[in-house]
Amino acid sequence: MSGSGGSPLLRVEGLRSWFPIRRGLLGKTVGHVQAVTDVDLEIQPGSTLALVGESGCGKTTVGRSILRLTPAQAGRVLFDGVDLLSLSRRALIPYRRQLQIVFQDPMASLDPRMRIRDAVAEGMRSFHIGANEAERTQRVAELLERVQLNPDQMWRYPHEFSGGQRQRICIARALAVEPRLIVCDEAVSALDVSIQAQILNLLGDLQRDLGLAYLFITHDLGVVRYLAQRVAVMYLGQIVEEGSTEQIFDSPRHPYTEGLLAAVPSVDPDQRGGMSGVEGDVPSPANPPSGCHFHTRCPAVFDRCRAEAPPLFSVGESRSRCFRSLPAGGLRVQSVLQSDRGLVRAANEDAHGQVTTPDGALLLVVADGVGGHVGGEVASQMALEAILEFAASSRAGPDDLLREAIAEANDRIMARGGREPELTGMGTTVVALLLARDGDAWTAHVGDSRAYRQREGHLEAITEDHSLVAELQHRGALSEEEAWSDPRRNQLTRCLGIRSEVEVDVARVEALPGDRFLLCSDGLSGVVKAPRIEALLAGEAIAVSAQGLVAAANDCGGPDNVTVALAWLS
Amino acid sequence: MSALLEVEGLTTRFPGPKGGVPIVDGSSFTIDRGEVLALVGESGCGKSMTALSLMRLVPKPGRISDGRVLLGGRNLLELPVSEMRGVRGSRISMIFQEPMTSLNPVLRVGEQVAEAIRLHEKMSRGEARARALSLFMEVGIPDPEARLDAYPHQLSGGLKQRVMIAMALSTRPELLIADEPTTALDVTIQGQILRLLRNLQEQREMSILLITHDLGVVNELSDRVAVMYAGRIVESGDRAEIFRSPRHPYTLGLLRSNPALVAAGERLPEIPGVVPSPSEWPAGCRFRPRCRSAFDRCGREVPNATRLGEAHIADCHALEEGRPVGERV
Repeated sequence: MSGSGGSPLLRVEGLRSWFPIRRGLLGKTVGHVQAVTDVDLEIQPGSTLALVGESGCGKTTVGRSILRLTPAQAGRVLFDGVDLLSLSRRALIPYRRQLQIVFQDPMASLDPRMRIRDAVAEGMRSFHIGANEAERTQRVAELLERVQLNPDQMWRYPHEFSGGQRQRICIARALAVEPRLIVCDEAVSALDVSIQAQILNLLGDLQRDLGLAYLFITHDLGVVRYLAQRVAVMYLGQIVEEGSTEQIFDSPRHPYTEGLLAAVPSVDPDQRGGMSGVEGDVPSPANPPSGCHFHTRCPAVFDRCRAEAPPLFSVGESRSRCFRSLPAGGLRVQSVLQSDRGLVRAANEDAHGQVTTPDGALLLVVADGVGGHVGGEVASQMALEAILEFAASSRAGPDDLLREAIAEANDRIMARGGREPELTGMGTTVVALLLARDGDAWTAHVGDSRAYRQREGHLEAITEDHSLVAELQHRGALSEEEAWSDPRRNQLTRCLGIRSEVEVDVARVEALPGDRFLLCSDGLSGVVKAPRIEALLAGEAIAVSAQGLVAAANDCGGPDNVTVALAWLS
Repeated sequence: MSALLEVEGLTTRFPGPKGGVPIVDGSSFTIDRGEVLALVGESGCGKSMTALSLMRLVPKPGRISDGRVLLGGRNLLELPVSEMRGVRGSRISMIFQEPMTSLNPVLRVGEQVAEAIRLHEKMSRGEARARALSLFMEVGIPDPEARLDAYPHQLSGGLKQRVMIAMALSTRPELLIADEPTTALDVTIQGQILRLLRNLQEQREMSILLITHDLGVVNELSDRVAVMYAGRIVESGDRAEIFRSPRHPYTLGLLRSNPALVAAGERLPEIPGVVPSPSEWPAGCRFRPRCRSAFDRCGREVPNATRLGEAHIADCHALEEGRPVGERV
């Protein structure tokens, strides 16, 4: 979670605070305002976590639930390891002293009929701090000085102070009981910028001198950047992104965070930006949208977001509740590519490689050259380079990207074959697998290099060979057994480098956690039978599986170059 | 561009010692046609009172004691009350910070907009409703037909502000006064409203007097900026110039205390103290007690305008005498 190490001062786990909506004479519960749903947070001693979001996102309820000012239905609030939610009211009292809160409106949180001295000393009396009233008065004077107020003013009433001064009084009152954590709920939001700077400096000084931790609840991102080490962004009761302040501001992962940042008006005269941002209104927390709560306003929405609620994915030290924050929709991808000349061929005419696109998709490619060993080697290598280059700079959608990349490869091979007579007639097969950030997988292929998907131990070919034998088999003219040993099995019906227009088969395939994808040249699929491949793909380690597949081809005589590319999702 | 509004020496007083307290003290500024002027300053600087003075809506016992407010050459302060009522809402409209308090909670919002239209123009209810509908579309209210029949409490803050803007635009005003129009809104909604105001201003070639304490909002929307402190305009100029090279110590302080501009861990440059209340405004330069560049003359004399560029003016003795201003202490 909050990666900064050490044991946290405060740890919130699975906090849920829903408010019932009651209707009718009997007060029947007809629904819930889902103010806070499954919130996890961590605050290290002496550090600041900012909890950011728009009105109604539940940030204030989180703060109040931590202090047990608002009841929570589920979850744990561990302060020094003790679950505050489990404590009886009496057992909670000593902890009340260690957790204090400062609100937005100091006028509303100070009793107008109570002198400042008494307001600040009230908590001390409750917790028996100071032997007598005189000692407490002395301590109030020190506290007022600490927050840069004149101690002589302690006998005045709240209305005699300005807004900034009243906020200082509230801070002094919180400090009076020597807390270790202060929840600041929009504590500087109502203040003018010059006064806000004074209070922020004061909070910074107090943190440094007293080792205070802050949970800083605010809608103002400008303040956050200055004050917090870590930031959690909330939307409709959930944390949608959490990370270090630098990461959140410099490379936000969630579209909502991006929108919030873009909406902040800039004071840079050359850069007006605050008019972009997020469209539409925040939906009601009583009836949040299906799937991802943000999908109704998200500029990057796709089908899956409407149907399925994204979990909070961990990415390094940060977390993001968006399918796009990881390649392949939050699935972790491991990939290994391996190739071998085999036992018969003089050279390896296969080529393989992978690249990440500008949109964060992972693309794996296997190509198998044909047309004499010089030409074959050149063609497969050219195809690979062309496809990787194209994909590395294209922001096209998966379908277009794959088609255009392969067309580009075909153009280059055709052109070079036309120029250099010794390469005339060279060609190559190609098979590619693209794992898009939205969680979809796409295949593209020309020729007889194949893609397989193994799901729950069951292997399935997800491409259909462009070969004479495959077509005959498809039409029922050949059985699987006959096809396997047919002498014409090397004849391709499609291949790069033959015609100026190449027909590419592109297909979208479902990708789920646990799926294992395999791309291979016919040095594997034409030599090793499916059950053996299936068994080899079922192993524990991806690298071992890759080695096993290549070794299996060579065990069967290694008649051809063999190349495998594996992508395992988890 | 020609001036739409010229304000000269506008002074608004509230009863007090020595002829009353001037909450607005000799303010002068102009707004060209199709221009957005931002009036910026902390709370209690007299920004809103300036706006109310232009509309001749100063709450009692305050009164405008001096100055001229020329709208298209005619002094609004000399108009008969009945004629001023015609100007208000038709040539000058106003929107406020809190749209909820400006809308009638028991009337459907469509009726309220239609009523405002019919107040200034003779037309049937049906026509007024049709006009309200087209205004709702213009201000980007989704599902406008249904929203005409909504009550204010059924609308979000952003939608309520859009309704207020529709109402303000209903009479095709030449000048829109927007008093903290986005202060009560969430930041994403603020962005939407600012963009809407910018588009409307461009399409209708309307002038806007934008009143705000938020320098970010000023930068996003305005063409020119006037900075107000303790009832007086202390610096004015083009937006880019004010943000690029602010000169008055107060403007410098406001800009520098923005936490977005300071690296974490560094101390925020604060302006010490607070805006004094009007009855305690000091003699000479009113910013002197909070100013790091002040010297003896500042306590004695009211500073005059020092011209710093073609349209860039600041009232500061230190600037006038070429002393260093805004050095970090």
